[in-house]
Amino acid sequence: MILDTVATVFIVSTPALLATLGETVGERAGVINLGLEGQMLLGAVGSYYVSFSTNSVWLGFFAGGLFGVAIATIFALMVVTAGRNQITSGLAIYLLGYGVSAFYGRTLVGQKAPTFSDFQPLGWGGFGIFLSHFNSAHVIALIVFAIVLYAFYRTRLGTLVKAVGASADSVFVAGYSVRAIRFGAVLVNGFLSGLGGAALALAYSGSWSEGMTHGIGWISVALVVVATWEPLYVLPAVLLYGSAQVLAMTLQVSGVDVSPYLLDMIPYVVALAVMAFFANSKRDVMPRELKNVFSEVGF
Amino acid sequence: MRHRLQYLLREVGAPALGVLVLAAIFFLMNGAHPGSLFAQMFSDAFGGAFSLSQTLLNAVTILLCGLAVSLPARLGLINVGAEGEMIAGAIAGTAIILWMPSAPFLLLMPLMTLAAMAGGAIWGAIIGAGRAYFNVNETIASLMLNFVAADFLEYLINGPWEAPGSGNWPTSDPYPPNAMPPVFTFAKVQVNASVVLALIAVAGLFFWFTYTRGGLIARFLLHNARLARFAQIPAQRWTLIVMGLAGIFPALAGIYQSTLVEGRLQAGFYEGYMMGGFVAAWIARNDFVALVATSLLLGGLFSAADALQLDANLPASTGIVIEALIIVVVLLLRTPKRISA
Repeated sequence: MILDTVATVFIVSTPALLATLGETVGERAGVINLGLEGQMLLGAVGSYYVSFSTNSVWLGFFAGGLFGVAIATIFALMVVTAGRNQITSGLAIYLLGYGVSAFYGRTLVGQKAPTFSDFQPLGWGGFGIFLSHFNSAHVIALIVFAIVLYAFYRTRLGTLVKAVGASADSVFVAGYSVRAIRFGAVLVNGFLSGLGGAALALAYSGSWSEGMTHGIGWISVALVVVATWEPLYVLPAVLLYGSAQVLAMTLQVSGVDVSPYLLDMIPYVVALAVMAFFANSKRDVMPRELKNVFSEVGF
Repeated sequence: MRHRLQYLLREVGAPALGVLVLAAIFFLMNGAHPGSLFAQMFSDAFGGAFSLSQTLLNAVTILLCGLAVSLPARLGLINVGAEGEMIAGAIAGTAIILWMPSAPFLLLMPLMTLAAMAGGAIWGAIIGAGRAYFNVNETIASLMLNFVAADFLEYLINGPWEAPGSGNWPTSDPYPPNAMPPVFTFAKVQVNASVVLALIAVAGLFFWFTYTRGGLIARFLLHNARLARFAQIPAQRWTLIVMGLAGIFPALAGIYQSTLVEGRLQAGFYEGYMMGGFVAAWIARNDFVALVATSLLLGGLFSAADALQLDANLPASTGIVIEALIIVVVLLLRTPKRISA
C-alpha cells in the first residue's frame, strides 16, 4: 500500500523531475528560461507525433528531447548570442511552444500512438508489484537524473557551469567561453524539458491534447527555487510536488472534505516560503549572475 | 525630421515587416494564401462595428494588464502577476455581488468595482511587500502567486460558490442584471465602462510621470539607487505603492471581463491576457500612451484569431503563434534599450 503510493508519487513527478533538472542546470549557468512550459509542450507533441508515425515509442521519446533542443536553440540564439532580455525571450518561447504544439497537434488529438507499457509483475511478492507500476520512461528518467548529477558535481564541465552562474567574468578571465557554456546549458535544459514533455505524453497520459502540461512547466520553475538551485535537491523538491498531487487525488477519491485545489497551492506557497527564507539568510542560494538578469535596466 | 523618420523605420517598420514575412511563411507552410488571409484578419479585427466592438473588449483587458507591467517596469520591477491580479479582482468583486445580489445598480456597481480594485491592490502589494521588505524576487513571486490565485478561484467555484447543477464545468451563480457594467454605443461600436476607466488610468499615469516628481523619482530608482538614497527617496515604500497600484488595473479587467463576457465567475476567464499585456507593454517600451496603440493591435489579433477558425479553418492557436513571432521579431530587430539618464 505504502509502496504503491510511493510509486504513484514518483510516476506523477517524472515529467516535472526532468524539466526542473533542466531548468536548474540552465539557471546555475545564469540563464532563466520561463519558456519551460512551451518546451515541454513541444517535446510532448513531437514525441507523440514521432511515436505515432514511426510506430516506435523509443524513437518518439528521444525525439521529444530533440524537439526541446530545437526550440531551446531559438532561445539560446536570442538570449546568449544576441543578448536579449531573458524574461521576455522566455515568455516568447512559452507562446511559441504552446502555439506551435497546439497548431500541429490538432491531427493527433484522439489518435493512439504506441506508448510505454508498465513492466510485467515479476515474482518477488510485494516488491514485484511495486516494480510493475513503472515503465521504461521512469527508469530512463532516473538514469538521466544520475548522469546529470554526476556531470554537474564531478566533471570539469559541471564546475564550469556553476562558475558561469556565479561569476561570468571570472570564467572569461580564466579563458573559457561564457557564451559556449551558457549555450550548452540552455540546450541541456531544452533536451531535459522536452524529455519531460515526452514522458508526460508517452508514459503518463498516453495521448496528446492542447496545453496538456497544465502548468507543469511553470511549477518546475518554482521547484528550482524549492530545490535551492541544487540539482541534488531537485528530487526531493519534485517529490514534494508529486506528494501534494497524489494527496489531492487520494483525498478526493476517499471523499475527505479538503478541496484538492487548496492542496494544489502547496508547491507554490512552499516555493515562496523558501525564497523568503533564503533571501534573508546569510547563505544566499540564488546564483549571482541570475540576479543581474532581474536588475537589467534594459527591461 | 529625417532622423526621426529613420528611427521610425528602424524601430517600427522593420519589426512590422519581419512579423508579416514570418507570418506569411507560416501561412504558406500550412497551405493558406497569406495575402487574402492578412486582409481577412484585418477585417476581422477592425472592419465593421461588430469586429471593432470585439477588438475593443480584448484591447481594454490587454491594456489594463499591460499597465500592470509598464508601471512597475518604470522602477525596474518585472511584474508577471497580472493574471493573479485579474483573478483577485474578479473574486473580490464577485464576493460583493454574491453578498448583495439584489442591491440597486447605483450601489452595487461602485461597490463591486472598488472591491475589485482593493483585491488587486492587496494582491499586488503582497508582491511589492515581499520585494521591498523581505527581498523576495518579484518576478518569480508574482508568477507563483498567479497559480495560487487560480487554485483559489477553482476552490471557490468548486466549493462554497458553486452554483447548484452547474455540472462538469462548475461556475458561480450568474450575475444579476444590476451587476452588468454599462455599455455605451458609438456608431454601433460597443464601448463598455472599463474602456473609460482604462483611459483615465492611462491619462493619470502619463500625467503623474510627466508632470509631477513621480517620474523623476522613478528614474532615480531605476537608474541610480545611490542617488535615490541621497535624495532620501524611500525606495521600499515606493516599491510597495507601485506594485499595489499596478495590481488595481488587471483587477478592474478581471471583474469587467467576468461580468461582461462570462456573466459569472468561472475558471480560465483570464487566459491569454497577462501574456497579451506583457507583449503590449514590451513593444510599447513601457510608454503608457504607446501602450494604448499596442493593446489595440493585439486586441485586434485576438479577435482575428477567433475569427480565423470560422474563415480559414485555422485553429485559434494560430493567433498564439503570431503573438510569439511578434515578440521574437521585435526582440531581435529592435535596438535594445540602453541606459539613458
